[in-house]
Amino acid sequence: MTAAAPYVPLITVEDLEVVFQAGALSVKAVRGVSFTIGKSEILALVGESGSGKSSTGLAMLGLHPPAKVEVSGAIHIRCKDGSDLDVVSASERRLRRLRGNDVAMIFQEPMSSLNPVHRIGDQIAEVLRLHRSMPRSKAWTRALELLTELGVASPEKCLASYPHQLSGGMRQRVMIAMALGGEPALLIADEPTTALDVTIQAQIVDLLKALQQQNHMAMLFVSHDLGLVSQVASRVLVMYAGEIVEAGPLPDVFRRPRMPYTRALMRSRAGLGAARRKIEPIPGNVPNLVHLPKGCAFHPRCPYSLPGLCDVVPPMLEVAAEGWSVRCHRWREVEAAEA
Amino acid sequence: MTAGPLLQVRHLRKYYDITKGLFSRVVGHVHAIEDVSFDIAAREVLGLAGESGSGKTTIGRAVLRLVEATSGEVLFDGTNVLDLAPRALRDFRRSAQIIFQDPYASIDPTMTVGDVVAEPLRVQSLAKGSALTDRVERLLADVSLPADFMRRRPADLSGGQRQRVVIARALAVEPRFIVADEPVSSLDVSIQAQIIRLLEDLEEQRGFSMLFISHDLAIMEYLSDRIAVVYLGRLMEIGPSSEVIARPRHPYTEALISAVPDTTNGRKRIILKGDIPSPVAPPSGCVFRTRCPYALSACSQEVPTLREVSPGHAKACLRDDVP
Repeated sequence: MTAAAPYVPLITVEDLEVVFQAGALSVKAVRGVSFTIGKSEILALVGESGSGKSSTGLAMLGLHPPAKVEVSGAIHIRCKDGSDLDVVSASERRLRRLRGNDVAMIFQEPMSSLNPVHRIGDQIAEVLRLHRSMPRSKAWTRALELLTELGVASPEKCLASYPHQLSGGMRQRVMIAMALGGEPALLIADEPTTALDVTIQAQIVDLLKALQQQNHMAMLFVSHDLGLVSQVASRVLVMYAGEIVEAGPLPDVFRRPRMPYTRALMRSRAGLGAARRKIEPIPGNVPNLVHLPKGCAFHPRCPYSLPGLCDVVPPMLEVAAEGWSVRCHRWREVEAAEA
Repeated sequence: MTAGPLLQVRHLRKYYDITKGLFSRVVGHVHAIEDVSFDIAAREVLGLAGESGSGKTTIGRAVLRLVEATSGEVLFDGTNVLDLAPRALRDFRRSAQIIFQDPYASIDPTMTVGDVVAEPLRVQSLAKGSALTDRVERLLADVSLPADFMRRRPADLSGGQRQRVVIARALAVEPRFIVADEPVSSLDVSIQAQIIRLLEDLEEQRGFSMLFISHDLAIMEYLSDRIAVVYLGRLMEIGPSSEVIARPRHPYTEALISAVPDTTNGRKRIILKGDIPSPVAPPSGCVFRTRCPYALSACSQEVPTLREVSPGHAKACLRDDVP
């Protein structure tokens, strides 16, 4: 990491709320989320399903359909042309210019993001023609370069292939090539290796890290895998039921988690080899977002929950140390009890 | 482990035909399982590790005859399962059950939870009437689901609850052997831990044997007594869990373990090049040699056979000096 460089936020998210409207029901998927991502910083966003991590990622590209999803708050991005844009209030026309140029995204399942009837070369070239206004022939040459940079063994053959002819790892490389084609300042990677085998996952993660360093690109790495996240990111946001419950530097947050949920998550994992330990499951289920528990959303599953406090008063995000915040009424007592 | 293996798999092979043209001419074979042999003792949990396309799921299904093997033997209590007539096969299913990966696909959404769990008992004519209801209730209690879940439909259940129902259904006939095929990989981290602990407790109480198929080595080490590693349908290494993880003897196992991301960042990492080769035209000699960092020219000539490197621990690799 560029530890010496001053921290310049590229993205500032303020009080983001994402509410899905389903008939008479409204589901708050993201509740008051605020964070920043520095220039060439890798920030991880972890949580279980329904925690709001993917909804947050989609909001940053303005990808929620306005008819069904209400997005409020602000997402400020410093664009490459020097302007400052609020994604939440920007027009669809302006957003189209943002996507691919300033912010790009790669998804979990590359097969569903690629067009099955077009050759890979045409799909990468299309991105370059749209975002970089390259002529067709030049776009193909650049596509070839991109695939070579991404360590594709026979890039010519890959360009001439259709998506179904490629392996999962290769498809994800193609997605990355398309995402990098517009030279974005921020890459959002939403579970980019979840569909891949561990050996291929290791290849893709190394590639993403190398590219990020080379291109000084910022990255939001969305994942449920705590181990993976600690290999990639320098800072982490832990989300639960639509809120950030802990935010801080890595690997410290995973080594000494302060929020009981992060603690419980670490203890519910099976360690490998020397790290092997008894698994301690978290009782109960992730809460239903339609009927959130009163007070702290985690209190029904929390061993430290204090009746009259945790089930009544919603906790605020408190600063526990420099660059480290925790959403828990009792983090001080919990820390003292565990020490 | 205790004396006499419950399950003995001998030279199991499964080829799928590749056909072409109007008359479905056979032009090649997919070598899904290639000469795999292993034992599982009574009360033992054998973990089967490997990447997608390694054949681990096919092995699990071939052992239960959910797919028909091309050749080989599967001896359950000394009887070859692959030879069983339909009637005898139904009796075998009373002793051997499977838990599938995706609890959204393996439960009929129109049935109530009670009917799902009762079905194997009805099919096997093991209980009816109030005795059946009692047993279903007890089974639900065993997987920590309240009795009133009997009347619920799968749609009302979370993924973790569904997987508990699938486990209760597998346990209904009191099997002596269970194949668990990626039973937690579709679940959230906190729910995974619940299901792993449940399987651990049930195995301890009921003493069934289990073939535990997973791509997650940490979970596998946690649950299994021994681990077998497969690659392109072949067994690469087999041995006691803690030994295989702490001191892998096959280069593929070593790479697989090193690729598991952990929160401590302490382990040596080996990044394998390329993808798994096609099982239609597997590499000559050792099938792993195309990705192996230690491959010699001899590795393309000779097919390594499984040989013991320490008591109960065997590998299929020509080299003694690595990893």
